[in-house]
Amino acid sequence: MGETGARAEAASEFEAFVRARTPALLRAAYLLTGDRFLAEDLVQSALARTHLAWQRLHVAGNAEAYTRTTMYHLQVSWWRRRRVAETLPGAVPEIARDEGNESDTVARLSMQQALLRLTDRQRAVLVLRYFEDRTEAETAAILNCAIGTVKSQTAKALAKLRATVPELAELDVRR
Amino acid sequence: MSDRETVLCDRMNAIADQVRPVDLYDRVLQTSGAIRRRRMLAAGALGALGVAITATVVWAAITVPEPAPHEPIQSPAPTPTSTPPPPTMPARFYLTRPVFADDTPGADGWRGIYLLERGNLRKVSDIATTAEPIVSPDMTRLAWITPTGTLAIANLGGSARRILPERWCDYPAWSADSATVYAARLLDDGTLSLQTIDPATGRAEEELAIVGAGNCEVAISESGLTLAYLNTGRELHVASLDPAVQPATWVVPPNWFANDGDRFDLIVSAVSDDGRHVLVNSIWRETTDPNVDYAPGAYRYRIDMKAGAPVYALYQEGAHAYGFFLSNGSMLSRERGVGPSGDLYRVFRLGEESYAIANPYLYAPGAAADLALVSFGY
Repeated sequence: MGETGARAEAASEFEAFVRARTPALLRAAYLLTGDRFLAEDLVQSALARTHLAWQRLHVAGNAEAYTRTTMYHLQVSWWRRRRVAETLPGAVPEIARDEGNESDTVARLSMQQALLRLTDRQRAVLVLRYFEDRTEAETAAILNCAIGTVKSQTAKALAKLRATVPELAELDVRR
Repeated sequence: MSDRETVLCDRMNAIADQVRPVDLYDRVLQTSGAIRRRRMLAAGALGALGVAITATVVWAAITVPEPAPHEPIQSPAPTPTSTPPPPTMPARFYLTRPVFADDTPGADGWRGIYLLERGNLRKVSDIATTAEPIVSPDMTRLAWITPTGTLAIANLGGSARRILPERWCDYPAWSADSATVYAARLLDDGTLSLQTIDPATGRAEEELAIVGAGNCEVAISESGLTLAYLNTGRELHVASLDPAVQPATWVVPPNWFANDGDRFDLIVSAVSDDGRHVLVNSIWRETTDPNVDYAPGAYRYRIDMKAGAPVYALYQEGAHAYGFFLSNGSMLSRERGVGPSGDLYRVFRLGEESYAIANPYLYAPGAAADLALVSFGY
């Protein structure tokens, strides 16, 4: 296969990767950002960096891990936090929607608002630990921090959640 | 996993279920290209800096003779100024006012203010009003007409509100430098007065003109000098303080009106600085008139005041939307959809009657800044 053919194949593989993995990435990104558009922005930025490194990544077969790690790094990086802080409103009233089950909706909204009160790093820790079911060591590796930091951030985050979400009042830190 | 951890996981999944899948492939490629270009530029700048430092060090090593004390200091020779090239239609268009307000207030009576940033519309503020606020170009202030006809000016978040007594006409407009609000006021004798307001003090500083009697629905051009309004005789008028702009009148055709007078409403949406183009929205409501075969909805027309005729119509289901004329000879017309994410912007190149559709979610290739990212080629 010539160079042009290999490039076309890589491009095709990247396109398939983006289309296949975007929905899952968006779910985690939405939990991280609390905003649909910010989530799209975050996934878009992470995938763009994956695209730049695609030649290396698709040979190694760890493109998704790279994208997810990039996504978490981007979300907790200092410059991104600063940019978001400049534009997010203090409190935006939600417009009520017909969701069918009212109690589920209330529970979801209270959880969502509780998550938004956490810091970016605390939210990232919780999403990795409880949504993606990662261990403390894996979480520390992805966030490029010490395991002790993961533990302390998890404890602080759960303490804040306990205060606002009654069902989680006795939630312990998972080992 | 314990029960409580399961609760946490379930709640997070319920939140994540709110996300609608979108196709990001094209946006990813464009972002990737932009990052690559930025990296190349940064590398180039770093290289240039290195070369400059090296050159400075070498230059400093060379002894340069000081000028004799009696030598006069030469002022630099004046450089001839070149004639700027004539303005051309840009192949790429950047939206210069990337802030929008909700067309309709939410259930709580508030309207969201959205900032177009990195190709996405993001809510940045709410303001408790049922009227549509107009955002200043520098995105720091809002101006709107309240339902009682007073003019309100406030900061983007709604603070520092100033109220000017009635009766002001929809819609106010901002000067390009955001230092002035233009608004028309309906006086007691039924005439319209175009006034300038200092948004910092909330004071009407200067009365610019008094034009003929009309409805209290006025479009003011970007320069603040030209305005268009519909008078009580259903005539569309253009008047201007600019002596180069001739007053013009266009009579709305009688067949635009059904027998039951409630069917028709005309809203003057925008006027160009030169007074030639006026954008109007005609609202067609349900009618019992059997002679009317138009579907209810809104039709948007650009009226060529020089030719004295509507140029084209765009059907828009539902209520009217707005548009404005740009100094580069284009007209931006917003197509309303479902919420801010469903809006499209048609950009018309006046004179050729061609248009392009710009999706506000389109990420502009090569756009380095965070703002003003709607981009397309004709």
